[in-house]
Amino acid sequence: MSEPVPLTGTGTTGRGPAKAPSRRLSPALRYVLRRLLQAVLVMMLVMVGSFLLVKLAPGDMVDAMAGTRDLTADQIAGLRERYGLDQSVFVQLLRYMALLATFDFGYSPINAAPAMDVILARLPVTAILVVCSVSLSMVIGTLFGILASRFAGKAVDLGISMFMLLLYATPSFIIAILLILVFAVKLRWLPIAGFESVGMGYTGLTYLKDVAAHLILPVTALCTFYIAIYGRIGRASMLEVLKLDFVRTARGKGLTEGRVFYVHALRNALLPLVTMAGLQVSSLFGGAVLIETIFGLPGMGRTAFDAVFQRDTNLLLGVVFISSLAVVIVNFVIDMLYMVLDPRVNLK
Amino acid sequence: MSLLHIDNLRIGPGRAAPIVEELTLSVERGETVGLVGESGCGKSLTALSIMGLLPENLRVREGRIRLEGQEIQSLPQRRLRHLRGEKMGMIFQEPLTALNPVMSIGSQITEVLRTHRGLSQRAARDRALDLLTLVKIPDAEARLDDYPHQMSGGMRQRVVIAIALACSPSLLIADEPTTALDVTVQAQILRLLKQLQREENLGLLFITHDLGVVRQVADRIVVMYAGSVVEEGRVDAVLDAPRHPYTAGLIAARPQGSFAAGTPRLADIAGSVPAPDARPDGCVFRARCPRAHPRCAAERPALDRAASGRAVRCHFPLTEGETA
Repeated sequence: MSEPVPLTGTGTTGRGPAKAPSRRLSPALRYVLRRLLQAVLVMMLVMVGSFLLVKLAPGDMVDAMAGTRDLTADQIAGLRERYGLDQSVFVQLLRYMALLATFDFGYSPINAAPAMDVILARLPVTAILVVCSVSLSMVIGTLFGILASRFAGKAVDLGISMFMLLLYATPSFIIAILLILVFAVKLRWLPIAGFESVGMGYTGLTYLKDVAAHLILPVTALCTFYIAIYGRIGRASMLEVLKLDFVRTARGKGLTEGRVFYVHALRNALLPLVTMAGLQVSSLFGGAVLIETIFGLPGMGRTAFDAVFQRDTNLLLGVVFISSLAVVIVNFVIDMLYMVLDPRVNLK
Repeated sequence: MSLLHIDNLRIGPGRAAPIVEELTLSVERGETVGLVGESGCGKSLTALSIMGLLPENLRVREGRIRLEGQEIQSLPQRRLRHLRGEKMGMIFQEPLTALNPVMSIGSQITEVLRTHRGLSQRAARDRALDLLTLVKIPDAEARLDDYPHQMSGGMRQRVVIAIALACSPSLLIADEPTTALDVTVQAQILRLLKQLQREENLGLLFITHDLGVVRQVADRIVVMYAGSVVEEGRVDAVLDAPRHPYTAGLIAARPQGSFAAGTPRLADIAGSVPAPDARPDGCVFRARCPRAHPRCAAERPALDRAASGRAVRCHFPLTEGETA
């Protein structure tokens, strides 16, 4: 075993002369800059890839327009020229990337508006949905997991495990329809669909309450599967950590079982749950098409769905851009959380 | 009254064969007892049973464990918890994994003091600083906020020792505390333990498989084989003139510390330790014993205690100068 090597280089060990303030960037700032550069690269790769994929598919938006209106061959050619669709794919790609660089997603024919405006109008719906679902399912699922591990092998554990299995195995759209039938149709406690009560002109607190009431069912439907996932991961992770040597040390110190459990073990067991939260955000962002459709919510998933079927390339790529951006940002936040939770994780 | 007295202890799972049986052992204040034996002979389980930390499937089935006269083998966990860390501390084998990776060294020490002594954060931190200085960690003040991964194995073991000693317990159990360390670091830790033991007048139960270490630190030695004590006595007396053929075998199997050509091959004890459910009737060592006799198969030898404190579990013990 060699002498201790301070991995963070913060000079806390007091060995050797203190580092003179260097002209180079601080490690934290360097780290952020490196991550930012990575993010830009990732986004570019995603956009180029998505653009080429879209171009590979047969049909463009002019085809979609021609399908709904009677257009002559000349008109069609004119439209293609107008949107630059007569150019080679390579030129189109360059033009599109240049457009993106100015944060312009181009024109969305199906909405007859700039794609950016359409997306910005729908982003809040998805953002609220995702934030509520992720935080709720993570908290509830983790609590179930902890409870199950605390009573591992006992009746409580068995009951929770069965319940988790049920949530895990039931598709969310079935749960959504069940929820609507029970709480909206039968009991009439909550609205059936939509993001707000149309034409009521609510403002302030009343408006918030109205939106909240509309969101309860879709958020619940989006949560169930993930509650099960967090529950199962949480239980397994806790049981894994409880077997480690430092837990025995903690017991050997005469700490209360609660402290051993909630302070020593839990913090070590949280990492896989945080990882899961990152995955959940990524998959819900634009991936909640079914739930958004069932509840008539104008979110990103439905926007993407409509864009695909109506060959609205700009809108589709815009959604891809925003979703990828969300994933990149969430990953960054998750890495930051890792550092808070585990001192061994370094700015590397 | 002994500090720690274990009487006729039997540890095992429900119906299956016991892993430790007929174990009798005592540790006095200010005394170091070396508990020696091969892996799997029940040394660590004995330690865990004293702390009340046996794995869930194992339990003390018979016998008594007394700490300062108080019977503790049947205490409920919530009462036992107050003794752990307060009256008895334990040092574990793996310093690299014995500390919580996500908590600072300081808070891992202060939580013991806060739990048992009800100290304030400030007072606990001061005491933690004293403790780190006591276990000779250089630059203790700066180290308090370090995390375990920033320290070497030897330093971490010092922290574990500091934690075990935080509330000045009267009994310290060290389960192979130096096995995982480099030889040079091992010597430092042993010296530190010995010194602390003397200064704090600790009863130290030192578990190891290394006879060299025992000779360095222990006053008395207790040799275990297959779950029970086979020989016991003053360290020098036992190591210089073993009476049980197993002890003699262990001593013969020690490396002699020479790299010279012609150093004889290490001796070994033929056969291996029987599993708890495969222990033979009679003397459990007889299958591997060069002195086995029909009587050894028929009758399990009792632990024969002499007035000198010397004890041996053998029908035909070695006499002075004899080798197995």
